[in-house]
Amino acid sequence: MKQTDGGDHRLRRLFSMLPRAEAPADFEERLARKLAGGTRRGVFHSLNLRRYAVPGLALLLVGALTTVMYFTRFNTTQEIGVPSGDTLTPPPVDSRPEGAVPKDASRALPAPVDDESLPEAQDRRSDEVTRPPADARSEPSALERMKMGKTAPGRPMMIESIVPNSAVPVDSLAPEDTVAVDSVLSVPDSVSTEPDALPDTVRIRKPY
Amino acid sequence: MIPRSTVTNRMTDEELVAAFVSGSGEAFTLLVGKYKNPLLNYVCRMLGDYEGALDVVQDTFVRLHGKADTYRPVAKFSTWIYTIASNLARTELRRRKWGLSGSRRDGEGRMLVEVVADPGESPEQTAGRSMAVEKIEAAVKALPPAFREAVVLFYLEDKGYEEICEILGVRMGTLKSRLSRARLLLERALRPVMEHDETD
Repeated sequence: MKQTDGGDHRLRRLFSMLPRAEAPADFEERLARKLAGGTRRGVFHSLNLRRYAVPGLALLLVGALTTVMYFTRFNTTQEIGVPSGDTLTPPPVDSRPEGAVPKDASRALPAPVDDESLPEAQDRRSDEVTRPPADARSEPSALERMKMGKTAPGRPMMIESIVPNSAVPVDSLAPEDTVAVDSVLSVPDSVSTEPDALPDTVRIRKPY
Repeated sequence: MIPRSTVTNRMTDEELVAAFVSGSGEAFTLLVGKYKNPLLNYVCRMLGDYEGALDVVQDTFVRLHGKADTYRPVAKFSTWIYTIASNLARTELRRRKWGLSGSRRDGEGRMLVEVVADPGESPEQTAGRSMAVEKIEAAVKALPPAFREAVVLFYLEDKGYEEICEILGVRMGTLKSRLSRARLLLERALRPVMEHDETD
């Protein structure tokens, strides 16, 4: 016997007002058609793959996005032939004598204008004269900080290439100057970690 | 084995299933005729649209047709077939939730049947009853599916606690808790209708 109470009674009375659903006259015909069609259902239908459609499509989308991001962000090859995506392998120590000009740098970039009469060259010479010796410097240069990953917090940077005689002397880069770049993706082979082997200038850019 | 010629309306459901398993198509037709409307009523309230419910009920009979030999008379046949329909309705609701169903989404389909005027009823009374029915339908539809199926089986299909527990595969305490909470929600939603009903 079913248990009922006062609330039940009122609800039952309300629900008794609801009309009952009735099957259409051709219900049996439609069922017979369905039964006949049911025997023709193949393995594909019985697997009921539609339930996996949404998660499957989501996985495909994530995979495609990851692939696109990988190729657009990390798979750019630099002019000196070092894949910039390799951020884990430390750069090899350059065995060249101190102060040697990297071969690749001169090949990859426009040759510096060797005109001693140009005002830029005169400025450079004066910089060389006034630059303190490497061991006398108390703080690492901007490039050293970059190579050590000690750039501005949260904003690592990418060294695109070494540009002798370029506009920005390394020593003139203050920490706040390096804030606006994105990530150190690689350091070219040709760049030595020795302070004296540092090139005069670097050109830095945001990867994107 | 039951001979085909002895299949009649007076047979119990379990006997009809046994006759169908032994090859009587007539027994299957009788079972369909007996259960199509109650199942349609139940599934219709569960899904909220008539066409989707028709599909689910037909699928229920397709399952019965294919799996009747797996039926063991440890439970009533009506419990067994309601369980099949309930599971299919839940699957359909889940599909609709994920947008995988070919059927119309909840609320878009045609609802049950029109309210038919009683012969001794005035047009105003018919209109009032129609509005009340709409509100009750909306209140039932607004219930969470777990509450809704319990309410429909208990109040509309007039099933007992034990049978509902078997159909839904829940314990008695769970069922009573669901019914109690559903009742509170319904009373809150249908208070104006109830008050109007009491004044009449």
